[in-house]
Amino acid sequence: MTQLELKDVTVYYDEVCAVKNVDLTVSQGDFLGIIGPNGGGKSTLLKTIIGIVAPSEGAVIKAPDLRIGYVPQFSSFNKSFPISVYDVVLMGRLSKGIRIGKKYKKEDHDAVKRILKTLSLSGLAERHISELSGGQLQKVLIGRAMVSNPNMLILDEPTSNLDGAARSEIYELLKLLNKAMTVVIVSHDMAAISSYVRQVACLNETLYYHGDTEHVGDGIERAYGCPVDIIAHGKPHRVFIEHEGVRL
Amino acid sequence: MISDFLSYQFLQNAFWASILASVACGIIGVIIVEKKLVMMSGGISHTSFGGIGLGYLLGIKPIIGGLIFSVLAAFGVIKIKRSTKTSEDTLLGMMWAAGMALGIVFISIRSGYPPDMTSYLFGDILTVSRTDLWFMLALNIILIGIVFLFFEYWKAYLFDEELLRVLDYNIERFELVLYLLVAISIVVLIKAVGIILVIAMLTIPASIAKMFVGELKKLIFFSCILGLIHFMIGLMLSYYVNISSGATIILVSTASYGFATFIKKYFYHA
Ligand SMILES: Nc1ncnc2c1ncn2[C@@H]1O[C@H](COP(=O)(O)OP(=O)(O)OP(=O)(O)O)[C@@H](O)[C@H]1O
Ligand SMILES: [Mg+2]
Repeated sequence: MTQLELKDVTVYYDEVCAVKNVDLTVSQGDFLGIIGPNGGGKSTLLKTIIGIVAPSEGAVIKAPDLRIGYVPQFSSFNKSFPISVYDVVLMGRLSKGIRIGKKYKKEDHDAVKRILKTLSLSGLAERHISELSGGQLQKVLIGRAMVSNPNMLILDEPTSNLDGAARSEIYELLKLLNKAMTVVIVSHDMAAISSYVRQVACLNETLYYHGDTEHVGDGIERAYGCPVDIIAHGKPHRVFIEHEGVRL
Repeated sequence: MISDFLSYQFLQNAFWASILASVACGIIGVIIVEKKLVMMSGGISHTSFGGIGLGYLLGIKPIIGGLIFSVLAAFGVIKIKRSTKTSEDTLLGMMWAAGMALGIVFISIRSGYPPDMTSYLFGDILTVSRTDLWFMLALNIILIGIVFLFFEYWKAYLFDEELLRVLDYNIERFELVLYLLVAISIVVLIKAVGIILVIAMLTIPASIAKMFVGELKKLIFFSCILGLIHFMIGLMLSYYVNISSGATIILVSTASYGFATFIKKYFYHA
């Protein structure tokens, strides 16, 4: 079932073209990895999907029941803010519309406890946000995105400054979550992409390839404009097939 | 001081003014410190001097002129922030100085003997009148209402406005209301500590509280209490030693900040 469809989406920032004529379909249960060079428009594409950047041309069509949870690339939040892990996740329960005297309800608190448990963060619930490691913080942000009970989780380079172990942990977690929801992830981590995701999109302004990981072919090479080695290490679940001239 | 307090209206007024001022300081101070709006707030408060001068010129209550100017300054700051990113600093500085200059011009074109402006510049909590108190109370009620009836949203806005944007909230509206609240609270504080010193009273109690408290509501509460203590000590000192109350209160807070840093470093381990 199609959850999200981009039709000929083009995004300009003033004169700079970030995304050009992109057609993309995401179906329920997909685990889509978006890859591409720096400045290739990946974050912009995600922002367009979420609706915080408007497409200059084209359309983003969402299924009526689509609920997106989003983990941004650069967390813009105030790191010294007096707030606990629990309250950060609770914030994800805010829903559109402002109500006078708003208080979180029991179901909001239940949802937070459930998520903290799923992410094995319960022990850190009362911890101040500034006292977390990078990996823990990333999990908290994933928790905040998940607590609103989304059916599509969108993550922009969630593992970029994590060590190998923390990275695998996040990917294992996403794999688990993917059983219940669609996952869209931007990453430069080719090893992880090749072992975990099931669809890839290669983006460098335009879309060079979109489809199953097995048939990616030279889409990556063309997107990056140079040969790219994809070496799966750790415990590969799937490796891209060999392609002439490029060791994938 | 107790018997003086009971027999002198002005001391009682000063007491109530301290309470009202510390509430405004506590709430808005925490917000300003968390949102890093200290310079913006300085700009708003100094610009309000223009309104005070205009008030004198037109023969209306100077503080009303101050309120009008600080609200206009809040809009000005937003405009500056949203348009030309590169010259934000310069424009803010210009507004800051132009507001002060306007005040001086208004006062000097007014005929007759020039009024003494030091109570607006440096505050004089011992001259707060009953009317001033009602005015401060009204502004405080607006402030408390807007902050606490929408507390969860403010918390999210202060922590991560990007999240609110993703959840489809109108961030610009939050920003506008916040700046208006800052403008209002500055006016509440002008009589007590003055235009020039107001920034210190907004930031010092909040910064001290932040050393010891890790939750927003507690932080606000603790800042209000600290502000009140600073006001009381400053008030007593200035009454007995007969020095400017605004300056004394600020020096007390500064000393208290130094003391808190010391305690935090050597005795307090959270
Ligand atoms: N807010 C902005 N204003 C103007 N230009 C922007 C803005 N954000 C991105 N761009 C430009 O749009 C292009 C795409 O940027 P984007 O952040 O989407 O790339 P990316 O693929 O996410 O890169 P990275 O891998 O480095 O995160 C770049 O050329 C960038 O300079
Ligand atoms: Mg990016």
